[in-house]
Amino acid sequence: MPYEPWLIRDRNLKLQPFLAKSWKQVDPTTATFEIQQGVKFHSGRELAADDVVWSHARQINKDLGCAGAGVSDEWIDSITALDKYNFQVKLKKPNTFITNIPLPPALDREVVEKYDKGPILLQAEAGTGPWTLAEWVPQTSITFKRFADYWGKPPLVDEFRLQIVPDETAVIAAMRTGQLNFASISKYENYAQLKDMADLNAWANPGSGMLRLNVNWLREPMKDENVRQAIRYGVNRQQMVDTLSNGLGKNSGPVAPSNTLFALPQSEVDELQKYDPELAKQYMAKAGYDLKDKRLQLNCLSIAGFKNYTDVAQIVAANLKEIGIDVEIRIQEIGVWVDSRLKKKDYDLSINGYAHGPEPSFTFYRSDKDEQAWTGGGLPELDALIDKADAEPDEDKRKVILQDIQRMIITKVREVYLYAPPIFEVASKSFVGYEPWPGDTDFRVFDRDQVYWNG
Amino acid sequence: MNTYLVRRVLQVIPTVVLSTLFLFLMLNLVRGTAIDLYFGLSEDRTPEAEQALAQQLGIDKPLPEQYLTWLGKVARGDLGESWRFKLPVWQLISTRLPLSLELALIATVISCVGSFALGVYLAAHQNSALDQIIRFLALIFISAPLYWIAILLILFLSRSLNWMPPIRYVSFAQDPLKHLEIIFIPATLWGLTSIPAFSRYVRNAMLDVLSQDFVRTARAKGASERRVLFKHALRCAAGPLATVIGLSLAGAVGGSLLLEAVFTLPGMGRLYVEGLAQRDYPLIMGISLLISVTFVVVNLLTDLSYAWLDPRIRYE
Repeated sequence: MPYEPWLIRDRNLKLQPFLAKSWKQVDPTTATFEIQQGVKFHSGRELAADDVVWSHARQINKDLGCAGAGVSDEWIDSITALDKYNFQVKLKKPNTFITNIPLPPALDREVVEKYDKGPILLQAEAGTGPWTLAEWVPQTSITFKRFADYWGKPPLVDEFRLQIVPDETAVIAAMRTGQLNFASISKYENYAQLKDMADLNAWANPGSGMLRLNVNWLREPMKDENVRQAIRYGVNRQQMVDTLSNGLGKNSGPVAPSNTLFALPQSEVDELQKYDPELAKQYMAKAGYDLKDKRLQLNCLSIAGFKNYTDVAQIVAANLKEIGIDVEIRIQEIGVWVDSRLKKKDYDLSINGYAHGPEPSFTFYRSDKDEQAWTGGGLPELDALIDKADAEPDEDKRKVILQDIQRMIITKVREVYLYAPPIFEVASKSFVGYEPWPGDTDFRVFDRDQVYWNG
Repeated sequence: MNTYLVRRVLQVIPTVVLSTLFLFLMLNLVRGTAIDLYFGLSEDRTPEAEQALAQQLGIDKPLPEQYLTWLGKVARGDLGESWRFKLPVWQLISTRLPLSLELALIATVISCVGSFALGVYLAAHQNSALDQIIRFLALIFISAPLYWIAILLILFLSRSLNWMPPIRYVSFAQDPLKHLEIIFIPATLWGLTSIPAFSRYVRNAMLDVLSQDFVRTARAKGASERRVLFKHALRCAAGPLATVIGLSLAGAVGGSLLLEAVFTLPGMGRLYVEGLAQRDYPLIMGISLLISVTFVVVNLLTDLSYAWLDPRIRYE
């Protein structure tokens, strides 16, 4: 795509150099990076270390309100150019996850500075990627054309278009009639209409995202650990997998099963999050509730029109009804949902989705992060583990700590993790060379995988 | 009549201003601001970033100042810039409105021709078998959502004919034939599904007029049934339908969201609804202003058409 990462993971999730040719963790708060030589911006100018320094300064400029500013400002103390192709990053606190260091994007300073207001990237080409923006029609399509002077292996396709199709029925029909060559499908019932077609390839692979229930620890019922444990054991995750993805998803903890590097073993997740309504009822009894006269009333938010959130909420409500919890589902428009979670905090549970990159970062769960201010749930022992993981340079030892973090999040019911739906993808058989990436639909396949059209 | 006209035209300005003021207040009462939508639940949401964004968008100022600033710009012909797309609101509207109007116009012509023809026939053959069938169909099409019918149609076409209207939109200027291929089905579907209900309006209005003394007189004087129906009765019966059609056309300015979504058309409906979802205030206010003006003007034209259609009506 037009903009590129510093490092990438290959199909085996092994870290590989990209814009950064090499890197070195000097100590837990210092890392140096060497830039690939000959990387050109779309303007023709070569990427240099000074561009990285400038990009970082721009990103944290409070007057601009850039995305990524908060994370960058929290972690990075300084970025310094050591020479034309090398730069050094000093962190404010230890982090040995090289890919979790929030490096600024490789942006062409000269192009960006020509425009006096943003979002600049909707108007200009300021990246290094194999594609430049050919056309952007709001709400309709984005067309990319091949960058002739690309530094890496050039794509085999001259041009491709991302078409925005609001209704998935139209996507199904368009794939059938050949108007679309590739699509990511959200619902199983739509995927089922295409998966057996002779001129299409179809995949249903584990995704890197999962669905979960956000728990509002600031509300009285949710402060009671017995209630939280009851919910943990009272939700039938296999029913969600069977009903919503025809058995193709998986029970998931805080790291999706597709992340074979760091996720807990599936058998352990199944045990920690087993469906045990009798155990759930025992916890409810400890909390002072019963099935008849003293039932617990909770509300659960869902976002209108968002994937299958409301379907999930209905299954949660049906399951919890059996253990003495009556759940009122509140379907909210997205702006109202954000307001509910951030400001009003007038909810007990909320359906939400989440995903980690290949290197899971649990910094989000630390007690001093915004998430805690929104919904409470600070756990000092969790903070200690997260800090330990961030500072651990040995990958095997870090894996052990990351798995302990996942166990704690599950057993303390920091959130209630549900299931990881599969990623449904379909492509024309003339669309040659495509194989799904582990975990997600990834448009890098248009360059790195050397896909081409054989129509 | 001139006095009436002048009075109605002068009413346009306060009506439009009041409606935009009302909308502006409602927008600011709705939970979830543009800042909430921009940052969501991101850890980038710091007080400084919020303040920076609020300043960029101009929403750090008091509400009266925000509204008056917007009104002042509108008076100078400037609808402002979309926060989300960073494009002038006029530009976004001008690229979408022709399609929405075109769809509505074609649908209206189809439904008018069909409704009048069918409505007159049904009035002349009251309680016939066809009259019962159309009554039943009107009920079906009023009850069945248009987008549901559209989805079924698309699935049917793609399965049985391996064809569907192109999803990549081109304007008439870019490729007339392709453009017609894109809009033919949605516009026709919209028009055809309106006929049963509209024809009932015409039928009922015709029956009412046909029972009038002047019609009886015309028949007594030897006028043919054709002349009675089309020369004497139809014009008088057209008033109610003119209102319905006028309002329907005015509503086209706001687009037909679900039809646009099913047929992947970049119309006003999707633009408007997404603007609302993103709390893109300049875009919402600009489109709302346009809808407001359109409704007021169309209302006026519809009222004036009554006087032209029905000689009994005169405005002072």
